[in-house]
Amino acid sequence: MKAEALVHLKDAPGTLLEALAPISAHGGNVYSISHFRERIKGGAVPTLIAFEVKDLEQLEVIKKGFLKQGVEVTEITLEGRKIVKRKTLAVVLVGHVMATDAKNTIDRLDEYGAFVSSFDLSIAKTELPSAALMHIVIEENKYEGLLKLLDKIAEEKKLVVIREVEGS
Amino acid sequence: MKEARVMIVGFGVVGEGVAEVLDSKKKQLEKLGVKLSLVAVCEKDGCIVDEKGIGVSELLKLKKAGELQKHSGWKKKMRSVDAIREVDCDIVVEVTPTNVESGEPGLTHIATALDSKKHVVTSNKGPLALKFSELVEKAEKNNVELKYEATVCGGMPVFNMVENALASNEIKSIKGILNGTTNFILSRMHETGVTFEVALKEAKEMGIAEEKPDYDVKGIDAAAKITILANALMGRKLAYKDVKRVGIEEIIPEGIALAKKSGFAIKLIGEITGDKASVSPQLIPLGHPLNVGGTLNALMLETDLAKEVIVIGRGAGKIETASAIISDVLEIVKSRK
Repeated sequence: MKAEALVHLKDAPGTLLEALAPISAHGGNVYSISHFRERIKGGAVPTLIAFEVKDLEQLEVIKKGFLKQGVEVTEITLEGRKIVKRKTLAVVLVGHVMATDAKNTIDRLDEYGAFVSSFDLSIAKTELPSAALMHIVIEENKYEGLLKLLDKIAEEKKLVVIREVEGS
Repeated sequence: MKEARVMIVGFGVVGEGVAEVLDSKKKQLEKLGVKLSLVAVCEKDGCIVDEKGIGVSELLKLKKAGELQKHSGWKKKMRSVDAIREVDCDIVVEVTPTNVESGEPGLTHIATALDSKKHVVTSNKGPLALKFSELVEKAEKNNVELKYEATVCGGMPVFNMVENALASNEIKSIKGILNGTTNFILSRMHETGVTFEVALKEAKEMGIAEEKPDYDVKGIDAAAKITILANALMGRKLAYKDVKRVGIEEIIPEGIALAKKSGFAIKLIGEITGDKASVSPQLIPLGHPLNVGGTLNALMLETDLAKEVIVIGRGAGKIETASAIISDVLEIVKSRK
C-alpha cells in the first residue's frame, strides 16, 4: 500500500537519514523523496516521503517510530486517505523560562498531546529574563486547545507567549 | 462646482495638516469639481470663525508663531461645542487627541455635530472605539455622514476600499500591523539586536515615539483600531475593553534573535479571527506579506470572494492622515445632491 509522510527537516546534514530510519527499521520501502525548498519555514524544509507498507498496522508502527525519533511529521496518508493531520506551531516564550521550570512546561504540553520537536533556549544572565523558541506539533483539532494551554501556562509563570501568526 | 464649508475642531498636528492640504490641493480639488472653504478652527481656548472663509496661509503662519489669538476672527473662550452648534458649516473635521478612557472631548464634539445635522470626518479613535454603534445610529438618525478613514492606518485606504472595491465581499478575518511606532521599535531590535529600551530611545529622538509611549507600546492604540475595524467592517459589537492586549515592553533581544534564526520576525499584530480579538506580539515568517519594516503598517483582510487582500502603507504622519481626512470630505461632498 502507498503511504506518504510530510516531514519537516532542519536544513542540516544527516536529518534526512534520521527521518528515514523509522521507515526502514520497520520494514517500509522508500521509493521517493521530494523536498519543497520554496516552502521553507522556521528553518525547516517540508519533505514528502513516499513509501510502501503492507498494511495500516505497519504504518502505525512507523508513525510511532517517527515520534520516538523526534521527527516532525504534519501529515501521513495511506492510499490517499489522511491518517494524521497535524500542524506545527513555532512559539517564543519570554520571561524567566528556566526558573519557572521549562521541563514542566514541556511536560504539560506533552500531556495534552502536543509534541515539542525542538526547544532552543537563549539566556544572557541567570537572573535576567530569558527566551526560548519551541516548535510544537499538534493535531489540527487540538490546536485551539493548545493555544489556551499556552496562555494558561504563560499566565501562571508570568511568561510572554509569542506564537506564530495563524495561516502562515 | 460643489461647495462645502468645513470646520476643524482640534488644531494640533493633524488639524494643521488638514489646513495645509486644503491650501496646497485647492486647484486639484477644484478640478474634481469641489470647492472647500474653511469657516472655523477650534482650539481649547477659543475658536477662529469667519463664515466667508478663513485664509489658510495666514492661519498657518499664526499657528507656527503660536499666535492664533491674533487672528481677526478669534473668539476667545468660545467653546468648541458651541461653535459646532452655531457656526454655519457642512462638515466638522474632528481631530482632537484620542482618549480611549472616556472618548472626550471628541465624543461630545462628534455627537453634537451629528445632532446639529452636520457631517463628521474624524481621525479620533477614542469615540469610535468606545461608542461606535451609538454614533453610527446617531448619524443615520440625523441623515448625515460619519466618516473615519483616518482612524485606522492613516494614509492607507481601508474603510473606503472595503465600502467600494470590496463591496460584495464578506470580511472573514482581519490581521495586521496597526501601529508604526511599535513596528519601528521591533524592526530596529530585529535589524541591530538592540534592547527594547535602546530602540524606544531612538524612536523618541526621531520623533516617532511620544515621551510617554504607553499608548503605543502597550498596544492601546492598536486595540482601539481593532475595535473600530471589527465593528465597522465585520458588523461586530466589540467593546474596546474586550480586546485581549499584550504589549511589546517585555520582548528581549534573545527572543528576537531566536525568532530570526528560525526565519521569523516578531511583530505586534492586531487580529480579529472567529470570535477572538487581540493585540499581541506574534512570529511572522520573514517572507510573509505582513513582515514590513520601519514605521510601515500592513493589513491583511481575508474575504470570501477576493480572498486575501493586503494593504501596506504609512499608518501615521501629519500629511498622510490629512490625506485620509480629505478623501472622506470629498466622498461626502461628491455624494451630496
